[in-house]
Amino acid sequence: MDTSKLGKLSKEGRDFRIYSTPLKSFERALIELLHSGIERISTISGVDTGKQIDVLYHFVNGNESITLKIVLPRKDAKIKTIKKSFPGAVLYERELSEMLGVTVIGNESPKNLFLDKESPKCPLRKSL
Amino acid sequence: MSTRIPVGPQHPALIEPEHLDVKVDGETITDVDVHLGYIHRGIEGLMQKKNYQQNVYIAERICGICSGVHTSTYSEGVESLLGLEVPKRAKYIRTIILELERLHSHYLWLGLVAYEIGLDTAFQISWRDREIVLDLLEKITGNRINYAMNTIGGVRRGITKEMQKETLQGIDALWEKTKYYKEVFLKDSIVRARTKNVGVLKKRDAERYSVAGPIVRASSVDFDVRTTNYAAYADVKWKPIVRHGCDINSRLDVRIEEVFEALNIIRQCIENMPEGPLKTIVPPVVPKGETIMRTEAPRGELFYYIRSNGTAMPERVKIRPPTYANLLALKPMLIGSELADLPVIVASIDPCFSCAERVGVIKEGTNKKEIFDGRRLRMMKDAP
Repeated sequence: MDTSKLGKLSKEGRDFRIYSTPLKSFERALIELLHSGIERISTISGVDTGKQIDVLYHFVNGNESITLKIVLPRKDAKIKTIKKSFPGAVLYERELSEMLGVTVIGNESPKNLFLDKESPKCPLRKSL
Repeated sequence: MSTRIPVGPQHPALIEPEHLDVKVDGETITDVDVHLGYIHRGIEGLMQKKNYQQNVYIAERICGICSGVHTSTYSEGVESLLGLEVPKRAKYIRTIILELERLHSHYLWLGLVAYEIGLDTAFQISWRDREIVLDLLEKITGNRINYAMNTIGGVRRGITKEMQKETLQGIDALWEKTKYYKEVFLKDSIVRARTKNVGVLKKRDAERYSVAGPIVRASSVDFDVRTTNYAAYADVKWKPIVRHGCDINSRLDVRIEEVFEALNIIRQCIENMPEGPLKTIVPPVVPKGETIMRTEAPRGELFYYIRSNGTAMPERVKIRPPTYANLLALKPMLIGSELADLPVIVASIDPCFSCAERVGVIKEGTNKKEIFDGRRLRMMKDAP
């Protein structure tokens, strides 16, 4: 695997690596993962830092977890769906938009996955 | 012509709420949609408002069956943020608790599958023997569930020599009983008829949908997170169990063999238990950073992402329990199956949700049903 295509290595642990991937090279990084035979996704995490929203895609490569970290603006956060290449991500993307208000283009759903209709919107946003 | 049948949210196949919107053509399932959220408790949000130590107790309460694996994963995650090396004895005790938990979870599941296919005796026998494990856990930790064994930096209690001896006796008894289950569940013609080629999840689908745990291992995929050598798994001899039938019968086979493996792991941990402290000194401040911790819960890969901003409380704790990953497998398993097989197929992924959130009241003397949602209950509470 050509790890330079995944972005800059930002953190390495016993069995995980986290890469900071620029949004514009996200698709290239996904293609690199697929070419290396990686198609298992553990989950997608979203973090509202107060200044930006970090979206972390956690993939599995053998015994190692490989994470791509994408930074999105807090206002009008948008990212394309990856469900065609990684069908396992479909629910995680819905959770991401429900909890943090990130629009996942191509995987919008009128129904909530977890939250009740009268629950506060985007409960994991910092303003709450 | 297709018909829609709502299944749940009141306890479809097991005593936990989920709603399946099933489309059938005659007796054959043609489509299925899963609805969740009946028990969403906002635990990830809550964890951002509590300190690292308090969060051990919250993690413990995510699941009643696999509470030990949640605290293990969370504690090991925070330990990796702190750069702590946990004493070896604590790692061995954690492994024993994790495997005892796997045992009682697998016995519970065997009982559920037996119940769903109409074998009530096998259900009662497997739940009776599960009590042996729960009694051991109670004697070791003080609790049948929510053991409160783990803490950041190690474990809170040791296992005395007498308890080690008693655990070994319990394991010997369970070994014999599990041999009997193997005969019943894998050779009995009725069980085979109800489980062979039922709820098939092909290897390709299991890989594409990122399914985890015994389900994926029953579909020819060798994926067991214990190979990442957390806790004391590097020190014991064990092997991941992989089967190739892709059906419920294979899932039975995988889980029964995993019971033998778990018994072996516990025996090795007790026989080679090192001496030493139970807990290491924990620095008061968690430095800024992020970490990923993955473990193999009884139902599959449990995932924690923890980010610290250097304050007393974590900036984010993301949890992905195994059932969440395994739900996507329901669709390929159910489509094309007979409607009568739905309960056993749903039970075969061993789903784990939690308690209900709404109250329905039928007024005395009338047949009128009133639903009290969260807002009305709050209003009633605030009313004088």
